[in-house]
Amino acid sequence: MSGAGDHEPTAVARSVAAVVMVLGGLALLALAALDWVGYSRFVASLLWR
Amino acid sequence: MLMAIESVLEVAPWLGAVALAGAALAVVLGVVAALVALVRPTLRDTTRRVLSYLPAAAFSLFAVSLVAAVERARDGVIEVARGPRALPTADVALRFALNLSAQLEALSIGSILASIAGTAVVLGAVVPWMRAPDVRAGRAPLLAAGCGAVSLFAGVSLAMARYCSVVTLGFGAVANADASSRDELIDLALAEAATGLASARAFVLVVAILAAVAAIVLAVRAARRGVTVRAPGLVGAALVLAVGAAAFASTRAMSYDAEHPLEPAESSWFPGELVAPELARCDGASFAPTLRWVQDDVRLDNRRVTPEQATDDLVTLRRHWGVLHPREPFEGVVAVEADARAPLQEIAPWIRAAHAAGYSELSIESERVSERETRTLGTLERRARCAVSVALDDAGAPIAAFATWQDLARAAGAAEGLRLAP
Repeated sequence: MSGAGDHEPTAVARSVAAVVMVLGGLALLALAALDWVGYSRFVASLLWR
Repeated sequence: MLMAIESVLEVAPWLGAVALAGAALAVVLGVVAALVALVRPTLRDTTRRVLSYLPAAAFSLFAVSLVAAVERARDGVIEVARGPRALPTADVALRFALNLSAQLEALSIGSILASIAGTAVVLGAVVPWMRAPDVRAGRAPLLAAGCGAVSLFAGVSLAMARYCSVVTLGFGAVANADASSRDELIDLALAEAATGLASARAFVLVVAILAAVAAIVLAVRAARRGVTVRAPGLVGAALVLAVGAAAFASTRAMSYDAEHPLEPAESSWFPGELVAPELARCDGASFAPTLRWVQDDVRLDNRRVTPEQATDDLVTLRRHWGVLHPREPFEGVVAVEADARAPLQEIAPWIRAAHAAGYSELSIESERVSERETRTLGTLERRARCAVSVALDDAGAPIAAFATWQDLARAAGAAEGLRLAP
């Protein structure tokens, strides 16, 4: 039982780390995609001004 | 949608075809994956994984090819803007802008379709989970993360679709507007679209936090039951974070420039070989028929004319001004674009022609050069229109008093209210 208890904090830490990394990475990717789309505003201003 | 397809195919036919095929495949494979999971819950894990990855692969093909098409269109615009002095006409510029927004619309529509595919795949993961409670604890965090990911994806896609609709509608209105109000309308359309993107960013942060909280709670509970993430899983998660961070870092410059688009300025006309006259100030009229004087090729509003034809055309223009330009009052101004070195005696016949047609003011057209720092394109040279006015008055200075066009421009800039006897 104590052996299983010792592994538990590590298992929890790994699970939390994996979740944070995946969702953090996806959120950063989503924000990057929105900024990529929004760049068209600057590109359009090159032609019109 | 049809316009979106046409514009994608117009810019890069094979890129467009690959993109659309990828989107269709992502939807079909996603639905197949979900149906198979529903019908065969005892399917082998490897087979289930392969079925789940196929829609993702198809969507990647779609995204990469359509992003490449958009980048090509943007590169085309940047090349035109930085290239030789001849700027495109307003119609060409509008066409570029409409193409760009339609391509983005195609990207967003495809993303929405891929969201449907992703949702189908996630549902395919839910069904065996519901039927096999013994694996519930292990699948739960994955499911929470998967729902979060699909929500993020759907949110970004909807934001893109809305952005493109606003831009396309705005540019559609611009196409029918007066030349004088076009810049302002485009500004409004792009600013409104940017507001929508700001809301989408807030949505991404909220969804990511909520999904992370749910997934963490479920993951902790699963870990306490002995279900944990193995090394390959951690490496994969770290890779997702690295890719996301790299993508975010690479778009910081784009984000900054999008927040600081170029300011409105009327563009000037002076092709490379011509020298624009130097002007001490810029206060000329902004809307007038334009006489473009080039040795042996004089044009009035882009139509080649002799002095006699110029008089006739200007008289006709004056008579019908109210109909042709209902929002611009007639002020009797003719704008003249000419090389600074041109002898004034050679331009004089056309100045006299304008005076004979009842025009009482000359606008000496030139340009003001300035530099603008950008984070994506470095330093941009900007040439904005600059003009000064000269009144045409029989009591004014004789044309013979000025040897060149530059001499007249210098005198006009030095003192307001210069009068020239035509």
